[in-house]
Order: sequence, then structure tokens, then C-alpha cells
Amino acid sequence: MLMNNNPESGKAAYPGLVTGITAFFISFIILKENRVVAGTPFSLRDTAPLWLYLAIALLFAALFLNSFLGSARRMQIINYLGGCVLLILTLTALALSSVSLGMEKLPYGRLSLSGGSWLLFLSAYLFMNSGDQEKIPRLLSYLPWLILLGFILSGSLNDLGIAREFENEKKRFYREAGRHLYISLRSVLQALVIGIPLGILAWKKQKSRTAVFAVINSLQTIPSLALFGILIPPLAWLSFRFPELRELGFKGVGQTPAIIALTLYALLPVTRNTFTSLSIIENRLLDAGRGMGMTPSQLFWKVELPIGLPVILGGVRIALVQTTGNTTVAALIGAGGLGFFVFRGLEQAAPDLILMGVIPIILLVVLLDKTVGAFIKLLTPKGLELLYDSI
Amino acid sequence: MKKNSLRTLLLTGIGLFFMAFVFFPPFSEAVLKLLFPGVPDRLYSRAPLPELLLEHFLVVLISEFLAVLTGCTLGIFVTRKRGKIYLPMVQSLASMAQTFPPTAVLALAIPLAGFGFKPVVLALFIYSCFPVISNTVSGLNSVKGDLIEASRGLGMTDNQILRKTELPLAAPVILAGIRTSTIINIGTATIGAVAGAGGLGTVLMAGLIHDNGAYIFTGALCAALLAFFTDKLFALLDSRYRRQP
Repeated sequence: MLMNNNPESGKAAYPGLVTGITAFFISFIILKENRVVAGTPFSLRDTAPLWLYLAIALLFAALFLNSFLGSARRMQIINYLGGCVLLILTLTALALSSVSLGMEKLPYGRLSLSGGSWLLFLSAYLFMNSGDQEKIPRLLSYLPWLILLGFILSGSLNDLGIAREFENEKKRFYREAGRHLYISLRSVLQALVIGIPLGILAWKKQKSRTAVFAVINSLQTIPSLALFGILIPPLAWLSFRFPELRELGFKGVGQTPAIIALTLYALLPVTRNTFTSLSIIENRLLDAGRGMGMTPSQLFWKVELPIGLPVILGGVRIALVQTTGNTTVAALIGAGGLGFFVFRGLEQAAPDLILMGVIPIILLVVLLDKTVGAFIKLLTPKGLELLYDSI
Repeated sequence: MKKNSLRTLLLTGIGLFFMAFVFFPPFSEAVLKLLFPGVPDRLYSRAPLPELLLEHFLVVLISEFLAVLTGCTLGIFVTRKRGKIYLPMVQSLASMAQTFPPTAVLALAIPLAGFGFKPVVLALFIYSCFPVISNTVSGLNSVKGDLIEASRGLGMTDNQILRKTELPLAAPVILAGIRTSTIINIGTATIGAVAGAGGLGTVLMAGLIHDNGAYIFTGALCAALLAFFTDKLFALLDSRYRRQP
């Protein structure tokens, strides 16, 4: 009966079970009558209907039993699907809490996720990742995103605090999101313009190498808020002394110091990867190309660029992820961006406002990361995949 | 040789400047007066600079210590036979968490854990774990199988192999992870001032709120130099480690 090829493999479900079951004992959701008063916590049992409560408990029991049966692979798929079901049940519980707590009668009420709901999300994630992700069928790997999207689009989560904050601040949200993207993309673009020649310089001139990398490495260690801060006084002085600059939008606070600092940060990944891309193009490859009778321009287009581009794009990927994240901090110096909501939420102790900033930032980071990652995969020559894995 | 001594001289100079700036108020007063002649209230008076530096240092030290303890333990556990089953889970969690901006993690932890010193330490601890975990895992996994076989051939127990073969060989990679997470930690702790953790970010934030360039500069300079010298300390540690055969 038992086809366990590895008796240990069932244990992969335990972290998900432990986090999930803990969620039963702490508050699931917090209700505030308006944004100022202290909230009342409700546990899952208080807000969810009995059938849903039992369904979640049964799901955990089933996943626990599953950890004793079946082959490792089947177990993993079942864990993955179990995680998806848990995601659906948790989102349903959230949607139904707003009904059971009478949210439509409280126009200024805020329903915020609490520890329990976060733990259930984490539990779902742990079940989905209980084994090697490569073994999950590709089609299934989109399932959690589809579930989330379905719930959001259906409007069943509209009474949650974050959705209400969004409804209130829609216009501002799009403006700040646009600013966030503008600051990040412009900084990375500037870093490319400076960083690629710098990488080539470091490769060609041995003498400059140590100096270049010493400087941009140290820049990377400086905390982002500190770098913004250091730039503010001199920029303020400059714009004070030269009114022409001020007319160009050059100011001590705001986007100018943010974009300069973020460009400096993004220099390291771009320059380092440009340098690496040059160093992996070996002389014998160029010799082989020359031996085939390639002209210098053919050599560049057919040998150097295809080998080097994926590595440089790898640097762009790191730079984008880092910069989009760091742009959050720029809101503190008045540059705007999605960090605006994060810090206003922190100031007003409004968790939903914080989430409204943080979730889009994380989504943006993941999206940029995946997009550039897909590009890199597309552009990587088949025969060179092993070479790239080794660097 | 000459270049090296020049660098040491430069570093010592910056270090002395930093010390004097923090611990000797007349000096920082003079520096700020030179840079910000127009600002009337230059010296942050609500808390002495050494205290803020210590506070900042403590936030980072406590959270990083806990992160190294947890991260290394977890990293070792998932590379042993008993914990191998959790390796994919831990790896995917660590790589996902590292794409998160540290500020986002800080901001998310505050509503759950509250404002103040402890919640910020908790948030920094959680975030700092992940670089340590992934570097511990990749460091231990990079130790060649034949070296482990050879150690076993010498009659070492699993425990001895871990302590005498695997960990020493993986040490530079693990150290690099600790270095990365400490530097990020110092930066995030600066932002932690928004959440009431104290530290150098307090001066900086006060400067931003009251539009006082001297405060901004004081906080930013100290935070930057703290990060810079911490990184240099790690570089020194790293070269010590690598020199051993």
C-alpha cells in the first residue's frame, strides 16, 4: 500500500501545517470603526461561518494525512493544490468577514488583515513550495496568481481596508505609481549610460580598475537615506546660487537628489556586469571569428554582443530590482513615488495605507525581475548556458 | 606598497574625522558652521550624537546577531541529510524575500508588531536572515564531494566533517552573506527611525521635517561612515580568512 520512495518526504508539509494551525489561535482580522479609534481583533472562529472554519480545519487534516501516503511527487502536487485551496478559503474568509461584521453599514470602517490571515497566506505559500518548483507543471504555477486576480476583480474584497484606501486615493495612487516608475527607470537608464563605458574603461585600462571598483563599491555601502541626505545640502546650495538650474527643476529636495543617488547605486551592478561580460569573451573566440574571416563589425555583432548581452542584462535586472525598491525611500525626501503611501501610513499608524504602497512596489519589483529574466533567457545562446551558470 | 600606505592613511584620516565629529561637539560645531553658515540651530540638541550612534549600533548588532544565529543554523540544517527535504522550500523563500525591498519588510512589520525599538529589531532580524541563509546554503553546497569523502576516509564523524571541513571551506561565502545583510541592516535601521527605533535616522528625519540642512547632513554623514567602516571591517576579516591555507 505505502509507496513511499522516501519516508522522509512527507515532512515537507510540516512547516505549512504548523504556521496554518497557529493561525487558528490568533486574531484573523482587525476592525476599526474609523481610522482613528483602536481596533477590535476578531479570530477566524468569530468572523468566518462554521462551514468555512471546518473546511480549513479539514484541509489541514487532509494534508497531514497526505504526508504519510503516496509517492514523493504525488505528495508534492497534492501539497501544491492544497496550498491553492487554502488560498481560496482564506480569501473567501476575508470576503465573508466584511459581510459578517456588517462593513456596508460602516462607511468609514477599516477592516485590516491581522497576524492570522498573514499566517494562512504564508502557510499556503509553504505548501506550494514544499518541493522543487521545477516539478510543478507549468500550467499549475499560474494558478495562485489567477486565484488572487479573480478575487480582486470580482470585487468581493472591496470592503477590506486596503481597497477602501485605494478607492479614496485612486488619482493620487496612479500619479505616485507613475512617478515611482519614472524615478526608477530614469535612474537605471542613466546608470546604463555611465556604467557601460565605465565597465569598458575598467576592462581596457588596468590602472583605473581598482579605483573604479573601489569607488562604486563604497557607494553601494552607503545607506540610501544617508546618500539622499548628503546630496541635499550641496544641491540646495547650487540651486540657490544658480537660479537657471532651479528653473530646470533642479532642487535640493525632491526628485533631483533621489535620481542622482539612485543612479549612483545602480552603477555597481551595471559596471560590474559589463566588466564581467568583457572578461568572459575569450581571445580564442575572437581568434576563431577572425579565422573565419569576420570583419571587426561582424565580430562585434556575431561574437561579442551575443555572448556579452545576457550578462549585461543580468546587471540591468539587479539594478532594476534594487532601484525600484530603493525608490520607496525617496518619498522621505519629497520625491514622491509609492513610498509616499508607505510613510504616510507609518505616520498615521494606518496599516492599510502602508499595504497600498508596499504591495504595488513588490508586484512591480517581481514583474520587472521576471520580464528582464525572460528576456535574458530568450537572448542566451543555447550553447552558452553552462558558461553563464558558472559565473 | 606606496599605494597601500596611502590608502591606510586616507582611511585613518576619515576614521579620525568621524571619531572627532561624533565625540567632540566643538569640532562638529565648527565643521557645521563652515558648511552651513546660514543655519541658526546647527547642533542637534535633543540627544547627544554618541548616544544615537550607540543606539543605531545596538539595533544593528542585536538584529544581525540573531539573524546570523538563525540563518546559519537553518542553512546548516537544510544541507544535512535530515533537513534536505526542506531545502527547496527554504531556498525559494530566501530568494523571494531578497527581491523584497527592505523598507517594505520594515513597513509591513510595524502594523503587526507595533512601533518602537523591539519591533524594528524584529523586522531587521527577519530581513537579515535571508542573505545569511542563502549564502550558508550555497557555501556549504560548494564544498566538493571528494573532500567530504576524503574526510570520511580519515575517520571523521559527520559532526567533525561539518566543523573541520565544510564550515572552514564555506566560511568566506558565509561571511560575504553576513556582510551584505549587515550593510543592508545599517541602511534600513536609518529608516527605522520613522518607526521609532531611534538611532542616527532620528537626526536625519528631524532635519527633513524642520528643513534643517545641518541636521540632515549630520545624520547622513554619520550613517554613511558607520556603514563604510563596518564594510571595511568585514573586508579586513575576509582577507584574514583567505590568507589561511
